[in-house]
Amino acid sequence: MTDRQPSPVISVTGLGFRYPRQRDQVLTEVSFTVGATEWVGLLGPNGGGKTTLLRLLLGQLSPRAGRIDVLGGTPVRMRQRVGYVPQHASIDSSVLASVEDVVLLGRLTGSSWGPRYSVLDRELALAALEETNTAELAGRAWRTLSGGQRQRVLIARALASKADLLLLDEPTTGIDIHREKELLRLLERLNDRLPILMVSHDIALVSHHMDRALWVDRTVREIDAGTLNSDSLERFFHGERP
Amino acid sequence: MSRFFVDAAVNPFLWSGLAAGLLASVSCGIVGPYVVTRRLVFLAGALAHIAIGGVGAAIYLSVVHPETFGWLRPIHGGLASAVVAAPLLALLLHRMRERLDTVVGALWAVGMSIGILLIKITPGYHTELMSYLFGNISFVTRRDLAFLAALSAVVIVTAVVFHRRFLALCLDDEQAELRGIPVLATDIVLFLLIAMTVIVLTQIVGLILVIALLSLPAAIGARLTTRLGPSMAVTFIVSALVTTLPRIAVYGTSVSPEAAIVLATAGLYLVVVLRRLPNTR
Repeated sequence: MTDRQPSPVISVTGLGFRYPRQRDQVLTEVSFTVGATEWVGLLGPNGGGKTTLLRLLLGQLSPRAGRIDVLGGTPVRMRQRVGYVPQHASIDSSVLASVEDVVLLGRLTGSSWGPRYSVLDRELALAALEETNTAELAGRAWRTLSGGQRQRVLIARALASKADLLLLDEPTTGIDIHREKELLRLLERLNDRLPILMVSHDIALVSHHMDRALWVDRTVREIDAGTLNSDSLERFFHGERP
Repeated sequence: MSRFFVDAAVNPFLWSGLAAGLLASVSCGIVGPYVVTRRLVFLAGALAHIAIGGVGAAIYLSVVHPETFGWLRPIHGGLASAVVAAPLLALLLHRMRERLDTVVGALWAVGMSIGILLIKITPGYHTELMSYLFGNISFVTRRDLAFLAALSAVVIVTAVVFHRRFLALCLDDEQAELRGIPVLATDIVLFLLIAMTVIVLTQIVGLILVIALLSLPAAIGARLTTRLGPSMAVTFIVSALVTTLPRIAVYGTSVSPEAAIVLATAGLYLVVVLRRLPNTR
């Protein structure tokens, strides 16, 4: 954890969203910021809108009301500077690809044509694998990796894109405690130079490692991560305002 | 087997049949691994059967209106209907994921029904139709070969240009979209390649069996390799072997060469699966 800086990398004001042909708002009156060196957790019940919020921040959905600024621009314009790390299970485990193939996807752009990546792209992919201590896996088949290794490789993919912000969706799901600790040490190290917004259901993880937490349940309320415990979380689940 | 080579000295159709098999293997080797990795086998099957509607339309028009459509051959109709259906299926893949199998199944049946209907109302008996449904590797003409070569060339060039984008779709289409790749448009290109490959393979095994050649050699490639590029090489080799050797082996017997090709491919796949070849690192 580092000293806080004032300039936000994410600024959300009065955000409202509902899916087409649905009456209920998924998110309403959402306002929050994430600072340039922060590591912020997103907590909340299933169906509370965490995934929808991530999709809005990535520009995959458009808000019905309010405003979203990511890295000083709209989510769609800035999304190539955002490193999105999904759950490792989001990639088909039988896919025909090496670890290097997966990481090189972070170097793909709308102007990439032809069958091969450049030498620079490969160097950046290798550097990202080294940063996540997975360089020795570069030639391995994706389908032979453990869950923990896959998650680190997906973080490498985000780093290969030279991201200025990391968005992670429950990266510790399905990973044993030992690998989880390794992953969190890696994220702490990355947080020295990158802001992180991370969805998690693990309150111990959020309270021990993150600066702040946001409770997402149709709207977003701030929680002091340091005071978070199972009792307070239980109360939030039953509707008490954080 | 020796009889094949004796007869080949005087019957050029035997060589052109083998050449058609090799040309089809090129398209199969490139497109098959994309189809299997992106799990599009069912949609590719739908494309093949929708093409039967086009085959029926071509036969009807060429017989009923010969002055205008006398030049039209069934393969042209099959290609046209597959090329029209390809963007539609890509669109369904992106917009209707929840009910995709139901809608695609309906299109599959409708395409076939239109083909059967048009053939039924076309005067006369159409032996050509059977060639397109069940293949006719024994009578591939030079004109057919030129057509197959042109389609194969389009498949090769397009795959070279789009390979990284197709690989991205196979790996993680959400990430591809976030990286600025127009995912739907790229899938439409991929489906057009599948449509062309289906038509090329039709010449070898017919529309009914085409899905076996599009999926089984690639499935064998997927068992033996861990990356898409090497998988394409293995798929090409397997396709070349199974479109050549069974054809030669059953020559002069009452066994249909098209059925022998598909059964040999399925047998090879079974052997590879049963041997539990390791997913090598």
